[in-house]
Amino acid sequence: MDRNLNTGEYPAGSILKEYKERVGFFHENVLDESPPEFKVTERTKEFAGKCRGSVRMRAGLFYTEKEMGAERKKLLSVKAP
Amino acid sequence: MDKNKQDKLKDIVEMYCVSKDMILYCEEIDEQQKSNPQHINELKMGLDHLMRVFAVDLKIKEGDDEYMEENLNSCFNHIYRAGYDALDWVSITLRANIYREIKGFSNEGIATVIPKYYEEIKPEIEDINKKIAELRYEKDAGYKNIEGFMRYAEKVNTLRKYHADILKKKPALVEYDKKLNSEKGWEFTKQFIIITIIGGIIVGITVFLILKFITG
Repeated sequence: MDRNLNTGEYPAGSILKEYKERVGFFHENVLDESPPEFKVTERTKEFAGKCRGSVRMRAGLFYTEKEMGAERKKLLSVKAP
Repeated sequence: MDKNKQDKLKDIVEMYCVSKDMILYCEEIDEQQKSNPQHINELKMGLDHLMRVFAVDLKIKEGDDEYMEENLNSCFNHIYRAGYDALDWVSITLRANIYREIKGFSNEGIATVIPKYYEEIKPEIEDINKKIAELRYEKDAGYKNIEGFMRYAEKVNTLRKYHADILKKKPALVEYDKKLNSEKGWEFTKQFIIITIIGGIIVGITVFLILKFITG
């Protein structure tokens, strides 16, 4: 039997089968759902320290959307000598 | 997976390498050493489409050829967009960095140490910026505009070379301006002494003539 997200039938040993049996809560159409909207704000920085992965991200060294706009303006305003 | 899909997958992997290279370079040259989560977000969206393709290919999910092709194209477009946005950020950062590096130095120093600056580099940077602005407004992403990406990357690479060249010549620029300032300082002192002496002589003669006139 093929593993199948459309029918909800999974062969023994598949991660999806185990997850569905043990956790129960599973959205069968998960792959075709749009990922959550991604907004980077000052609040994102508050939680960034708890994330694993990039050191810069953990240290809050990333641009929020607002900061990116301001930085772009600043960079474009540098005049040639 | 058929040959057509394999070719698209190959394009995705290659485009990912290009985009990742640009994202890493973008972080490296950023003045504040900051990352851009927006670029990472595009990669994440690409991963989502790629998972749909593999889910069908590995029979985890039902789907036809059209579904797989659509998702392969969308994946490529997101990876491309990540690279394009990073390229965009790199271009404005490099331009600003080049100008910041030589800001404050004398025109004479710049013209002597970087002889091509006023004749070649500066006009070309401005020209590149104009062309980059035009390329930025070409909205098409992905396969439709891979040539646009390549042309943009070539322009950015020219800026990269100019930046590296200016960094290499900066110590000489510092040295030149130091020498120029010390020469100018000596010149000023010399002029001050000459003016003071001439002024003293004029005042002396005037006082002498006034006294001679008063005493008759």
